[in-house]
Amino acid sequence: MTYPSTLDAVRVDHPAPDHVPRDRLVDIRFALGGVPNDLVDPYAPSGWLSGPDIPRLLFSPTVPGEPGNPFAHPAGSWIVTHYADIERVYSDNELFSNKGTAEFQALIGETFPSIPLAIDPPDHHKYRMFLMPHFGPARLKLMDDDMRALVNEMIDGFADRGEVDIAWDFGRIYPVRIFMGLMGFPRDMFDQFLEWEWAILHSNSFEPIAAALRGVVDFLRGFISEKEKAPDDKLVSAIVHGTIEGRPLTGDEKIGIVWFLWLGGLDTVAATISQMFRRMALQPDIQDRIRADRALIPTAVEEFLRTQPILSSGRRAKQDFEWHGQQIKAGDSFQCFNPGGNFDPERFADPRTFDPARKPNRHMTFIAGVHICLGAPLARRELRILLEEWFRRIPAFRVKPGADTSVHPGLLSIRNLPLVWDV
Amino acid sequence: MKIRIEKAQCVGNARCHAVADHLYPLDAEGYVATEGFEVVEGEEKLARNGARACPERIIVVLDEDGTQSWPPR
Repeated sequence: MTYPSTLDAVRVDHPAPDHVPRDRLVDIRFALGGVPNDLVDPYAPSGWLSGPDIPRLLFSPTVPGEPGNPFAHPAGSWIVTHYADIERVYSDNELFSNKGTAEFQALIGETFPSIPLAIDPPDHHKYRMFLMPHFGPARLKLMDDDMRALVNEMIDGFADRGEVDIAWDFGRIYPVRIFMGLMGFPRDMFDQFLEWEWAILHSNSFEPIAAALRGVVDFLRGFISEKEKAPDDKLVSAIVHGTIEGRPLTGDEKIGIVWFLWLGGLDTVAATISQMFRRMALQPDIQDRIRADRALIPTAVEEFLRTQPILSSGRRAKQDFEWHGQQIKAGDSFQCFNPGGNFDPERFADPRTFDPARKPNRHMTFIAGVHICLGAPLARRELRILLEEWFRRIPAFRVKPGADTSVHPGLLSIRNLPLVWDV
Repeated sequence: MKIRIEKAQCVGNARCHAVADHLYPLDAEGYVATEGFEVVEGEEKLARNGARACPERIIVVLDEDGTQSWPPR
């Protein structure tokens, strides 16, 4: 497989808005995770996009005649590939808005917003204040024992066999079980949840997305009304019975929050776990270093996160302004390219080297600014506890001979990855 | 150098604490527990990195001459 490695190789000549210079038009779909590869560092082919000689703002026009992503902006998007610029898009609330982001529900005629993701400051603040106590370090500490017990129960199931499909039989299950427990969702919805989520995020076609959205939203509305009648000590119940600025939540706020947590809680850590173990299996010196010094686990987790930016986010310009000599118009769409930021040589020394001790390591994998991932402390904890127990119990591991190790460098990631070790 | 924190605006991301736990202690609920401090010599970089890590940008860095060097206005 060869990948484009120069700007000239990705230039296109499709229609674009008049204020966008023609020499900025590119098609970088090769870098967006749709195409699997088999490299140890699967994000390497797009590394040049954050190089010092690449213009700071590129533009990806809609490709004529291609259905593509049903959620893409019809006029196309500015593409932001350097760390400092990505940070500005995520952090400058005067210029950039998050209204409408990831509002899949609009496809089935629902008008509630995704909360808090699609809410701009200053309103955003009250939702974040309301939710953060449930995801902050103090609350999570209480979950440590349960997480550790779950990891060990799952490892018990395969440690003596010397083999596990880390993607399908572990990564897919562990974070979702924790999330469902936190929310109070019935455990028998597990397969149905993952099926719906797969359709919404990965099917890329209208019919299955709409059917899954209908299923999820109807289920969540029913679940909310169940919790209204019969409260428990879980998160959905706390949301439904909570107050914001001294008043109960509206119906739209309840479904908007529960829906958005549902969407964000399912497969992000799963994809991260699969890619993390793939990297360690293909590059055993990482395993050796962590096994020799387990105090490295917290910084190693950050380095896995930095080198595996499974998703990126976007914003809309709130007003006309000039940036890097370009005219930007109110309403313009901006897509940040997080792998660009995370491997930007201006920000990270030796960006392609995996350094389990790297510090500071402020990567963009959880986004940045006020919309930084609400579940980030939970995800970090899940990953840290997993690695602590894994290295305590499982010796050096490798990919099962003959297994397919190709990976989509993004959220889609890996379906199956059998690992083996000596028993 | 001085750090000033708009404590009431803290939503509890705890990124400052992750960068420098002794400079940015948390209360029992996980919110930042200080309204600011005078930075001791040798800890300027750490204090600044902790401030920059705040997604809400409520940690203000005041340089010796009183100018605000973070967040950008």
